[in-house]
Amino acid sequence: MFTPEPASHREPLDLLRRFAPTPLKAQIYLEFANVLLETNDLSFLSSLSPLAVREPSSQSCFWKIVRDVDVRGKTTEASIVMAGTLIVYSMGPACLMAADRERGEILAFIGRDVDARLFQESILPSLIRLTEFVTPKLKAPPVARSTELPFEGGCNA
Amino acid sequence: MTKLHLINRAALPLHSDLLIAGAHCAFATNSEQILASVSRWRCPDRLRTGRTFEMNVLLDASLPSNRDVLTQTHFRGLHHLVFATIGGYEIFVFDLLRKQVVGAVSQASATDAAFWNSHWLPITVGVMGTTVGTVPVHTACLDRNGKGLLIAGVSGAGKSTLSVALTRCGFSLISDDWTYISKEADALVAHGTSAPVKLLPDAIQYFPELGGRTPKMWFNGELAFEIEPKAFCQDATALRSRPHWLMFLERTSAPGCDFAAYSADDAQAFFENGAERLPDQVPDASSARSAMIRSIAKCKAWRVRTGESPKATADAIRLFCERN
Repeated sequence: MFTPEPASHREPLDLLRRFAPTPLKAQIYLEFANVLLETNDLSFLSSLSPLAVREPSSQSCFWKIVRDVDVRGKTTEASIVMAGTLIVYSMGPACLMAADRERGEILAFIGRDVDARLFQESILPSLIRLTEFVTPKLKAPPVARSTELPFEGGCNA
Repeated sequence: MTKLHLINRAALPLHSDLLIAGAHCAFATNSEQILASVSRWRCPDRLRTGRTFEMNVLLDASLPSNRDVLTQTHFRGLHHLVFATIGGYEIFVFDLLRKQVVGAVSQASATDAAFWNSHWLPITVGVMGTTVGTVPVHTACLDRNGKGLLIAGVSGAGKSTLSVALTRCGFSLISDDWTYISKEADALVAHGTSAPVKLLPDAIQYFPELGGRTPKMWFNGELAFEIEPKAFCQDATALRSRPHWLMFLERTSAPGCDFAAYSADDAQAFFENGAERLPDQVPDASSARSAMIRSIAKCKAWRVRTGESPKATADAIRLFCERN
């Protein structure tokens, strides 16, 4: 497995790890969207392989998934924020994901202790739902799409 | 169970305009308590401009209140988004592209005015400011008769300790750590937030009144005393000034306090190198920040190399400022 080294956050200053290198790039055809993946951990790609189909979709989406080697510990209970064209899905510092519908992209940090099983069982299903959010079905009526909730759970608002 | 927060202006009926360190924040919430906690920043109704950011905060009373802001806050950023989690449940998202902040907080945060005033709103301006013309720079700032003194220096140079010493010889404290610079009618204005002064444990040798206090862990893992500015310098605080002097503080083991001219190019390089790299998605913010840094670097600047105590250094700076 590719093991990313901790990146320097000093030169230039990058306290938020915004510029953590993601040198691995792959194009994956999922059933409902073509995903262009950028990451620093090959294991994410392996987890996606079983979901790949042969034919490209008419929809496209960009994923940037950073393995955050500075974050230790497991995920916590999920929390979702929906605001306009954004959905943020958090399971604590070990799993931070955001989907930007307007830009057709999903951005994520996954902590170092999130193993392949946890990723496949807990995180990947949410990634798929976020992808559905940023690539709405073309035939669905706009009003229905805007009120559709891609996740199940208690609503606190 | 998954917590789902739908955050939009319709769900947040309480609105207020805030002016924080020169940045206009159009604030909305569903909580009277949150509105009361941020009330010190309230300003009369302002029209939205390109220098406004929106902040929408939902109180979810079902969120657990057991969180420690200083040790359990986690920040990450990708592209135009910055995430912040506080404890296991509270979350904020800063969208630099759309100039919008959204968050969901617990009852503990809603009623904690110190959380908003000393930590969260200053942090918010630190993250969003560059997109709305208010640039955070890592300097202390003091005021003397309407003229601002910016003190820069690497971490650990003693900016905070010197700032407190300067308040005891005629200067008013605006900030000991982060200062927010904006332009008004083409003139630079330096803003503070009255955030607590952060003094490293060794400051106790200069300020015996710190005895009995306990240093605590900060966001960056540093152990430091947190002191309300007024505890040191009653009536010696201010919220804004016009930058006039710019000093780069260096510690030395040699005795004396020496002032040497510092070039605008070196000053500009210092601030550019110390600034957090901004994402490619907000190119206007990067160029606006660089322009602001060039303006700051045009202030009269000196390198101050001192081996003296904070009090003696402060006295030397006071005399120097009186002559320059």
